[in-house]
Amino acid sequence: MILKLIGMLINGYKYTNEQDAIDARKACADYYGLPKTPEDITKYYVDYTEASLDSPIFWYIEYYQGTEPILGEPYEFEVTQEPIE
Amino acid sequence: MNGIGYGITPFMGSHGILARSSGGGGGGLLLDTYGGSAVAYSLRKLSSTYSGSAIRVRRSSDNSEQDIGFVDGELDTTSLLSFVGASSGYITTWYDQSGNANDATQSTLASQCQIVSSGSLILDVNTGKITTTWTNDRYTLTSGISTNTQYLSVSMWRRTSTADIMIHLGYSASQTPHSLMWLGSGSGYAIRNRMNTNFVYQNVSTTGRCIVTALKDSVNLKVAYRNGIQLTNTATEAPAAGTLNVFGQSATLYTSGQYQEMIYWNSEQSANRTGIEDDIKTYWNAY
Repeated sequence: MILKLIGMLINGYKYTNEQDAIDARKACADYYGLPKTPEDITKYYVDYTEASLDSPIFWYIEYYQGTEPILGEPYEFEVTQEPIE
Repeated sequence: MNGIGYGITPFMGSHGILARSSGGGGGGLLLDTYGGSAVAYSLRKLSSTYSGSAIRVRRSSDNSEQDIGFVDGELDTTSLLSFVGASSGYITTWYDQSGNANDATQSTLASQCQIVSSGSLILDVNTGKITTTWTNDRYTLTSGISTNTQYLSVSMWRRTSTADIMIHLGYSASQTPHSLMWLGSGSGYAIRNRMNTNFVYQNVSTTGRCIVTALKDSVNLKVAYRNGIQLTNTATEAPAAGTLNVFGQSATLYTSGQYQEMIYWNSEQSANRTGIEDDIKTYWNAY
């Protein structure tokens, strides 16, 4: 089956390698003191997603209130998505 | 997850306003009568043999976390409000009351649903019962659940906006399988029961609170219900291999709206469906 892929606009931060996304995630967690204790469930402030249907693949973090001091102003970019069929 | 709650009213004390359901079986809790569920997440106690907490909550003031249990079968809102204080509370863990310890957790702050807003419980705007507000939120199951069975998937949920998407159990890597999904205004409002390949759907644009159910019975007939009324479309499909590993998510689609309860049986439950729905309807004053 061939899926007709669609593009979706995301407001956030885009990374061309996964380590940069991991570092950005850690920077946000560190800024907000997460995790509070090692036993806590909450480890991250925001998480990253792999844009696996894009070529080349990239990684992104969606904007969330409070990310500006660490990641800067967000911007819009397109991510290829599986259509809802 | 955001800082805005729906239907927030001053705390009135939950114990006097929540009716105890009969459970359809002589006064027991829902899972006492209809046992064998694979996972069961709720803001009320569902099984008399379950001795764990209901949820784990993070407070926004310092991001500390604490388990919240039950008092007389209902969520211990006194402990919840005492812990959260004047800040807001977000659920990090929905503890599984089925006995299978398949808890649903969210390690990312931005993707946790909200249960307390600025020191006040989030209450359903029509019933005054405690609820949770989801804004593109989702949770990861401790263990994946096989789709290679009959099933019943049911929830007490409110669509707060026509744009809301609601998902019961799904798969993180693709939109199929999912036990039940209700799409929003951007995608035709389809209520879908799509465990493997074929799917049942019907477009329903209504907002408000409702019980939404998906079922595959012993002859592999797949149907879906909204407030006990069967949707017109059906399909037949034998069980097949697959995995459900997330609550409130299907690939990159996430849940928005208000959840109070979601239970999934990975077995034939067609004879029990109306009894289960009646219990949920009575307890949550569904419609």
